[in-house]
Amino acid sequence: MPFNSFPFLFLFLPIAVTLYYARFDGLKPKVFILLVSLLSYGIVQVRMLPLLIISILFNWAVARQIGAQAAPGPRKSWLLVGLVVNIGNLCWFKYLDFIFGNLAAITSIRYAVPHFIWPLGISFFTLQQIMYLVDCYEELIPANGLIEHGAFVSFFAYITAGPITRSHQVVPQLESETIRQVDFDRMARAIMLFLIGLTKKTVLADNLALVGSTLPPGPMSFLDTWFVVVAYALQIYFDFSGYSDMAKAVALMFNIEIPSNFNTPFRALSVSEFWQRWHITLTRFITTYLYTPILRAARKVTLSVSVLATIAAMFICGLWHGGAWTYVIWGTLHGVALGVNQIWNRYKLKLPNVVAWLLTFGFLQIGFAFFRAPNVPSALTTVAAMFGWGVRGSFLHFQLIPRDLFLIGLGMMLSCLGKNSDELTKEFSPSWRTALAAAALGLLSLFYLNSTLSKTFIYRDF
Amino acid sequence: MQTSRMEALQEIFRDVLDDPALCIDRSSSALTVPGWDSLAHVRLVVAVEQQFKIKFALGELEQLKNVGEMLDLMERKIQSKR
Repeated sequence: MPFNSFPFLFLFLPIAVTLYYARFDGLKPKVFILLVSLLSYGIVQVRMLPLLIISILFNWAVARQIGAQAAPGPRKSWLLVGLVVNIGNLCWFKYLDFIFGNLAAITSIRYAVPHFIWPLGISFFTLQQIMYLVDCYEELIPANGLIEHGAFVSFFAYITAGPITRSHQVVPQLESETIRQVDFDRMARAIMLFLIGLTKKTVLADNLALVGSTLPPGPMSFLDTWFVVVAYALQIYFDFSGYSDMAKAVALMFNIEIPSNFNTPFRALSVSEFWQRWHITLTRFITTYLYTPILRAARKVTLSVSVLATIAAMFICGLWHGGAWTYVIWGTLHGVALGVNQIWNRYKLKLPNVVAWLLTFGFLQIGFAFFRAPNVPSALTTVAAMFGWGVRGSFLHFQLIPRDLFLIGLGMMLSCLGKNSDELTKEFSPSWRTALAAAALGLLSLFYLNSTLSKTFIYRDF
Repeated sequence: MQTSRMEALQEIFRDVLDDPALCIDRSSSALTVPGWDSLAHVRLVVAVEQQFKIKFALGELEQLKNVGEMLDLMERKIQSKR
């Protein structure tokens, strides 16, 4: 269920947490979490619930087969079966339009492509289970029991859009003796983190989505183009990091710690540093499960091999975000930038921090121009305008209204300066002051939630 | 044995990070060695694998926080190969 909805905030979450700790159900925690998560998924998308259940059953069975085989050959065969079915399933729902759309453009033949409902969280629960199968194959973890595997995959805190969580991070916690003991400090920290996330989403991201909506149709000015693209970058940051904060907070309400996804990414002084701060759990997946195997395939690790492996991995990362050339170009651009970063490091070149930040931030915006665009020509028009081509008016001309400029300024300050939500909640201790702050954030969020602003999470569609 | 492995590891670090003067010890980590970021980490690990004819599990890579941990895991892999 969407975290930024009244039914979730005032019915689903409080009832689930109360039942969990009151133990009225008499169920084991992992059974409770599994049932509540399946219920949550079913409420949003009952038609795709069987797909989720089949995916859980399939990966559970494959992992057990991998564990049951002693010889390397059959183990590898079972892993391959698991990988092919998972990736095939993802491609079936995510890339049919993209593949046949491009084939149609090349062959001039129109194909009748079936259209499916987008299964909620498929990109995320597929990646989690791919990592799980690889970890089982490499004998890092034993195969899960059915209930814990189901609870690990379907946990409603993160199934929609991550953080991408590993089995060894969650399953041992599900078995912990203390998982159902109320820890009031931890609960207070979780509530605070949730409210920070909700504020990021409802107050900042949803308002930033409106930046530029008052601009007249036609070409934008140079400054307006930059402002609108930066506003989008801030919107997606507050949207996704707000979601991730809430996901982490919801898991914490059930005494389960999951990894963080963001660490003040717009403070990065290089593209490499950006990826260590942005969508961290995806970066780990790409580095470990894509970049490493590609690099291993080379006979010798040279700088050029590493650069090519990075570009290939980021190409796939772009494609993972969706079947569209805008995402592919975005990912590939980041791959090239990471390659340049490696060459830069090799020659030990240094830039003053201000210049490094400006170059990094500027590059990120060019990437976001592709990420946000409905198609490549539209993205190219925006990028051209960012370099001053085909723009309206003079260099310093802009038409954005003061509210938009205020939002961008506020967003920049909050995203670059001061402590992030993890740092704020790590040192959090309940007091009258923090209770007042939490109440203020809660009221402000509810005020905006109860408006026409409210939007779905951007990463929900990935 | 550990000393010679450490020397070999140091050569790999110097080669991959392109720093002929680099000196590492067991406590050296990404925080103390310039250029040791997440991508360089993988390059280091793959270079180690190729030199010592061993293979790390993918899931183990993130857990290697410093040279000492890398050396210990290397040692275990080499021993288990024998």
